[in-house]
Amino acid sequence: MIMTALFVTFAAIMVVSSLFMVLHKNPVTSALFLVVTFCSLAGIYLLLQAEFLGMVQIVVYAGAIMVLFLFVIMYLNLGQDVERGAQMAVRRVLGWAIGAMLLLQAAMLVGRGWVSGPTAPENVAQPAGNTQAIGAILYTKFLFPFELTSILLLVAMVGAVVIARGRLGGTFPGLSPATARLERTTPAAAPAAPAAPAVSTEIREPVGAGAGSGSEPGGHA
Amino acid sequence: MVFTIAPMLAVAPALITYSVIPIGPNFIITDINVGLLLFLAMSSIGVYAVTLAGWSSNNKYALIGGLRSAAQMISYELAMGLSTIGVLLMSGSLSLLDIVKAQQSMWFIAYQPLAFLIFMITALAETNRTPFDLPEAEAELVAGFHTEYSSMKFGLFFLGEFMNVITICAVAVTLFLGGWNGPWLPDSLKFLWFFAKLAVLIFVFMWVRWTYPRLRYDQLMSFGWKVLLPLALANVLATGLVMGLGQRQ
Repeated sequence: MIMTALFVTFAAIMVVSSLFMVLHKNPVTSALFLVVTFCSLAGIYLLLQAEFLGMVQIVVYAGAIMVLFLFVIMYLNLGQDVERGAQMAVRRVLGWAIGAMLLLQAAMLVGRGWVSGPTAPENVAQPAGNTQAIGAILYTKFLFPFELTSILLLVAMVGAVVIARGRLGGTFPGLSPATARLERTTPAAAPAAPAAPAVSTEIREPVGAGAGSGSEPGGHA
Repeated sequence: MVFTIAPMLAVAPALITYSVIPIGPNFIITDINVGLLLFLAMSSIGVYAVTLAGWSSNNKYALIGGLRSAAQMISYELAMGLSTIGVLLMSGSLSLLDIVKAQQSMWFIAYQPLAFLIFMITALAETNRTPFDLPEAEAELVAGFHTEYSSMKFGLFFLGEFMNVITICAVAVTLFLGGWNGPWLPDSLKFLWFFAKLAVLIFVFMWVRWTYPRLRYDQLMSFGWKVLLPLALANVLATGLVMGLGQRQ
């Protein structure tokens, strides 16, 4: 009984906060509501006895990814969404189309009596919880997709380093884009910009013009 | 509203972590099998307090303080997570109770001195203590992220900071110093060992505070990414290798 009550609470928080996330005009508030959504999703994972998944959900999504998102939104000083222009019309049409498809799928799900897969957890009775089960299955049955994912992440990491180096004129190798952004505000990064070769100046210029509109005290350009 | 929520977020995660820390043999609120992950999750939630406080203050010093802290905490969290993996490999469990029980014959600090050192350094950085207290560097940022806060909201930030110090020391005791394990005392009084070790670690924190000057920001970042992270990775590899060879024999 108490499980049902908890599930309803988490689900209600999740639905309400994801609605707020979509509907709110201020990007920072939207991001914060997304964090609330992630945390209540972690709560639902815990109710399904998927402790590992629940904790990783908080560590990775709420703790790392959303902090970086928030970081970028705050730093770029994004204002409210401007809703006009032809691009916006295209986006609206696409949005309605995809929304209609989702609604159709939801209707089909209801028609089949809500069930699309196993609703109860399968291997609950394991003494060490499902952390070991996940580890074992990742390194045996799903080893190839697992390694493929790690290569994908490696590619993204190398890409981030290349972009950051291009912006900074190659003075700060090995920094992630988030820290590189911060480094640009320090005076040490500023003198590096004029000395950069001509090729990378071309790449850097539009980026500097876009990001420099915020409250950047010592930025280059 | 964000301005009000931020100080609460500074305190709540530190308190939640206590629910999984085993203080004595029968002195633990709950033993979940992902206790260590809960601690890491809560320390990553703590980043929000500082970031949001800095942003919602609408003040340039507070904003820079908040951004610095976010970058610092994310960078040092990685090294902290990796430094605990050695302990996990040796105990074979994420539950803090099992980790303490695995240290009955010998504390893990004996096998993992490097990991303990890395953990304590990152703990200093995570709690924004000197020499890593750049988010609130008085000389350049007034008071950093809490410049605009006063009365109990400011009080909550300070309570949160010291609670985090105690929490992180308690986790260090659990992971590396054997938790409640110690000679002489009967089981019902073993929690005294836990508090003694905790007091020693908190003393070390204060000691460091009055001993070392503050790092420069770029020194802080390059130290975290270029020294601590590779060292922590090497420690994981070495532990894994030794454990693997030990199992083969």
